Amino acid sequence: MTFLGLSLLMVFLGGVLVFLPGLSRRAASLTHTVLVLAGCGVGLVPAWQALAGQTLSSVLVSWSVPGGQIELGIDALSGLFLLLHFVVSAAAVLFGSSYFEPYEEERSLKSVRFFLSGFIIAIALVFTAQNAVLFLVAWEMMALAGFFLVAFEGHERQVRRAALLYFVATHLGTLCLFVVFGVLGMRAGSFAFAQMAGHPALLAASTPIFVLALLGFGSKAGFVPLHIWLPEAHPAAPSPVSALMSGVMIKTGIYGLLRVLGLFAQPPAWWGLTLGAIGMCSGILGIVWALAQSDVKRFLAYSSIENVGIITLGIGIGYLGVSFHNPLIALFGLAGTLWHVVNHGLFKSALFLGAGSVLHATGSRDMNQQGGLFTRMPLTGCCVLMASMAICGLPPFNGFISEWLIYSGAFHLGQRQELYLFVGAPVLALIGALAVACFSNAFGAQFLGVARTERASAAKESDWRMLLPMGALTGACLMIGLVPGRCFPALGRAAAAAAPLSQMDVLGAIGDGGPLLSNIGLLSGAFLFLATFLFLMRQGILAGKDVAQSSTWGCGYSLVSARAQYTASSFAQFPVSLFRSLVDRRVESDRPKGYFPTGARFRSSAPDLILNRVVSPLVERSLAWMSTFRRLQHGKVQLYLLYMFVFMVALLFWKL
Amino acid sequence: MLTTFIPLGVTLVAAPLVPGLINKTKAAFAGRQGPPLFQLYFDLLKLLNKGAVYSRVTTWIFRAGPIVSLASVIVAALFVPVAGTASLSFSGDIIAFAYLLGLGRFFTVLAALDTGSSFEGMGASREVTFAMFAEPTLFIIFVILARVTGSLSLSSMLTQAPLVGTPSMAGLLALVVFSLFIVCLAENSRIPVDDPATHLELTMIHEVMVLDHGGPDLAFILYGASIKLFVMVAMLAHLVFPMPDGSPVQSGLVFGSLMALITIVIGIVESAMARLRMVRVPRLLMAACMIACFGMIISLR
Repeated sequence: MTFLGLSLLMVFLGGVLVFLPGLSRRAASLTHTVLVLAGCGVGLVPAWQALAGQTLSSVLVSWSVPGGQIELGIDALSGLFLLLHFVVSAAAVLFGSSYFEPYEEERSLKSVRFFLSGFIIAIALVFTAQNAVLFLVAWEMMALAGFFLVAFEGHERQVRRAALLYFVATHLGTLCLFVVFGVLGMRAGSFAFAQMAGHPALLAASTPIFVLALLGFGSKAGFVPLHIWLPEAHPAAPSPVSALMSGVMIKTGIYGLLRVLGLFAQPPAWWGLTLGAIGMCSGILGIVWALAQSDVKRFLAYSSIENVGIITLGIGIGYLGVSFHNPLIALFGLAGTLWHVVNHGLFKSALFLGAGSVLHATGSRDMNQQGGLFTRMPLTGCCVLMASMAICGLPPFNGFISEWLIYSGAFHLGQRQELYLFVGAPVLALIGALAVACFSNAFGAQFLGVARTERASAAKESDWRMLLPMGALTGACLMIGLVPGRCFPALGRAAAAAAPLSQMDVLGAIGDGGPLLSNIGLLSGAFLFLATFLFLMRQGILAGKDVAQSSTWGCGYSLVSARAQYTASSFAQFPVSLFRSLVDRRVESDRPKGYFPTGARFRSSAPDLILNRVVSPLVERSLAWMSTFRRLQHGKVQLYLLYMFVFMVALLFWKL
Repeated sequence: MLTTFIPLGVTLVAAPLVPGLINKTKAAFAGRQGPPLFQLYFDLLKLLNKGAVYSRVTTWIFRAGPIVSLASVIVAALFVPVAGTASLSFSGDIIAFAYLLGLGRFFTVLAALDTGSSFEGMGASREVTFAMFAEPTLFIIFVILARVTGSLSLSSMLTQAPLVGTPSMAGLLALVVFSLFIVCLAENSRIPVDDPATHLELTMIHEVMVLDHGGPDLAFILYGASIKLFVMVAMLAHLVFPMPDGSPVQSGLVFGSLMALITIVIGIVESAMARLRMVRVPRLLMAACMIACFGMIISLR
């Protein structure tokens, strides 16, 4: 635990030292980056130890807050999330040191560095707090620091609106959590998680706790329909912050859910079914909505909703396994979930950083404005390609491993008698096929073909501080994909910490699952070997033969304009049209008129269905209704004093 | 050790026969003599001896597309039984099988988008759209087979499925085979989903995506497509009739004749039907999905 303290101290110093007077911009940037990187590096040590099966002593400091104690501890579950957190934070901060540079001309970056450090520390505390009060404090710190980071470009109206939406959504969630932990603490008689676990008094309140935890943690994780803040906040935040938010912050919702539900020794089957249903809805809707987007960061935000859906489906499968006393299903579901948490953290942050690089190079987030970036930004392109393959769950990357585990759990469930349990695997297949559609479209529109605008054709490759984090993250994706068998025992430990699996034969189930995963690693190796062989064969065949360059075949017409290419929107039009009842797709167009048309225009967008069709009308209705009470609030102080007087007299009468 | 790779070897050698037989059948229906049965072998040899022409727009992704799609389909073919045995099988290989095919599709689509041609973009968009229906259907079929056999590996699912023999299973067999047959037609771009013979770019899906490939690249693509077709026909063959346990010669003969039979059926479908309108294709695939769902209900017993 000394390591954790040291790590957080370094991150904190990194955030505070930038305020030293007389520090030049360069020195401030360097101080912050180096200290935070070192802090993250040191923080990996305890996380790794916990995952490797060591029990770490917890820190206990008394605190004047009622019921609160500063109790920090790392078990395998915390260790897993912490490992991901420090890796992604290090990548985001190194990337940020280059990404924020252009802003430095016009404004001070001290505050953003401070809040970035605060954000990292708060998330680390969320993952290690062993006391409900401390957990809530860390949760709130995380929400606030996140708000200031999202509002980085707050001079733009759109960004202010997004930040405010995030602020309101996160606090509504926190409200539910206050009730959850309040009830838990009252019934168990202590706010320490260790005292709550398995407490018999909790059972009577299990249903309200489950529902409120779903609402509270679900709004952070982005369960549909509580996801409304995600597609607004992610595009508004600077790219390294989006990477950290999507890679780690939304996972705090998953972590919290696992922690709180893990307090119950025997979860009823309907919990698993509810979680599975939520997961499937979020997965399908998230990816369908993603397909309709043309802003790359909005697109990635929706894809995060989809992946949270997959993760939640995995939790559902795992909990059903626990309810049915089937350790294999439980382990497949939960280990798959946790692995997907890590994997999604790695490839999604790489994708957000890639989107940041493209934004940095071309000044636009609109995929329809890009094209042909692969020739100008080959390394960024490779990283984005690898991360896109990983997020689609394609072998030989890590996404396939975690999806394979969840699929296996779903298949084992499908073999049971109950009919409805079969849906898991087909739904995952639908999500997977949609993800392939989405990411081939996004990568193709941005990086392949011909540049559609001047800016895109003048793009330059990013510098090493941007490339190294992306390369490291995608390299990790490939490594996990090639040697999955080695990572499995650590994940089994984390899964055992996440759910009441201890009484079951987790070790036996790990023994069954490990060799299967090694098979997959072997398979990925075989694929890479075969691809290399075919590549060499092709080189051999083409050696000494005519290899000519020409233009793309256009049915005999060779001067095709770059604007005639299929754009991201045109690619998505056909598949989205099949889901038109689920997508709020809006089209504005002026069709060409007459024999000699002078101009034509086409624009399509897909605003959030829930936000625009459900939440906004509801909010407007309730505002209209509440405005009738505005007459009570007119700004006349003497009448306010009268209200207070009347109220106190009424109180006196009531008590006397 | 080497004997385990015999099924894969048979697949790799015999795969180009399947399109040849389909074309022979179509020619017979049209009253023509048609190209020889071994035409695809000749085509592949000819293409492998040619040079290549690349568009100036393209990057290495365009060159990697055919390699990746061929490599992924060969690795996927490892799991598919030939005459009752597969080269490799483990619990959960069905997922690897489906996702390897997905990997091939992903790279074919990227290679198409790499050319910057709107025709190829159109084909790519259609390809990913139809996969959205075909993949869930394939997985419903897998779940049914997993329930019936209690196994999660492709070869034991296909070879141990007790669908034939018991009359109560006949209905399930019919539903599963029918929807897998439609998935097979869609995945392999056959009529009524796609027309491999047409040269009108606007009506094509798979053919239009590979419009710019030539020489050895095109050979890889054609060969990969024939392996994919072979593999899916082999899956159907094992479902329709369990391979006898006897000598390899006996089961090989049964397997060979079943393969020929199913291939001829595909040829007959292609001769007797026209390609569906593009907007109707999703309905056909949805129907296949629903039929698989009915199969799911029957499998409850």
